[in-house]
Amino acid sequence: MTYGFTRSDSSLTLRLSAEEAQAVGLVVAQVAGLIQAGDRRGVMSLDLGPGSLGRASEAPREPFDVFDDFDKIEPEPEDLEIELVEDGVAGPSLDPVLARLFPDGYRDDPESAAELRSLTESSLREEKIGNAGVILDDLPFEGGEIRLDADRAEAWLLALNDARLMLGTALEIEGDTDPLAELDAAAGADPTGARVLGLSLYQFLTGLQASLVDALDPE
Amino acid sequence: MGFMTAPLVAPAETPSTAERPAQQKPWVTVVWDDPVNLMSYVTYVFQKLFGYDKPKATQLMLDVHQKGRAVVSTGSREKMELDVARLHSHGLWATLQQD
Repeated sequence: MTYGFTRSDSSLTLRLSAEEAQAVGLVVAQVAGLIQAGDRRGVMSLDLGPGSLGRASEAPREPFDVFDDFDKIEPEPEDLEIELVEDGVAGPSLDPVLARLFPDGYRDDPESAAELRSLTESSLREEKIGNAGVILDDLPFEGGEIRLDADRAEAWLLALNDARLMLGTALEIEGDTDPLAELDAAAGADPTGARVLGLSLYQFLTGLQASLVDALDPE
Repeated sequence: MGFMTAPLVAPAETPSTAERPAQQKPWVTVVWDDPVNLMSYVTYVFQKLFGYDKPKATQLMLDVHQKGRAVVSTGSREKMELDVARLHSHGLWATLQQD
């Protein structure tokens, strides 16, 4: 059985169970809510990193536990204030997820980056929230099949990517991370923990997005 | 005839690259490697946003993945700012700079 998106004529078809639709909806709504509410206030919203495993430090160390000390870094209260550059324009968010979704456009020039941000970020935010809204409108929450035209498929593609960026950042996925090995390690440490759920959702959304890219570009 | 093969010595007043006026150096859009974005998705975005054919888009994606970064477009500063914003809307990690 084919999993994920398939192309039929000019539209794309996806079949989801109620549980799958609700899981996708949960993550996508979280992205939209984070973008809407977070608004560069350093919300530190998601704690899905290895440090979220609670008593994981008592468990046998796996090679993937390199971030175990992350939760020992307590942010100072002043670190959570809005970071301002000289002319009073805000810099990138101190929330790692928002910083990834809205990165600086200049690498070593905070003033130019802030200026560009002031021109582009609010429309970028609206665009991302709008894309998430398309998914939430289309999802078959009671299970079933949906068909997307090209425009809606494009919104799905971008919003699924934002959802994966949010989860990947919160889960501290690195270039050499093997998500399945991570999932095994997390399940061994705390089978019902938030990290297991986060990694499972990440894997699911990765497969879904990959199938959508393939369906859009079948070469 | 020895003088004709003498090494050329640059005149002292030749400006160095760093001193050249800013407008002579082109602006470029750089995409940086990222552990989350799918390779097929990045290739798709390069085709869609810049009109590159699949081999070119694939090569740029591989450059990003293997070298950590790739220049994906060149032009005026304003155009590069637009490209960076479009890449950010697609979730790619992009910056502009003068090369």
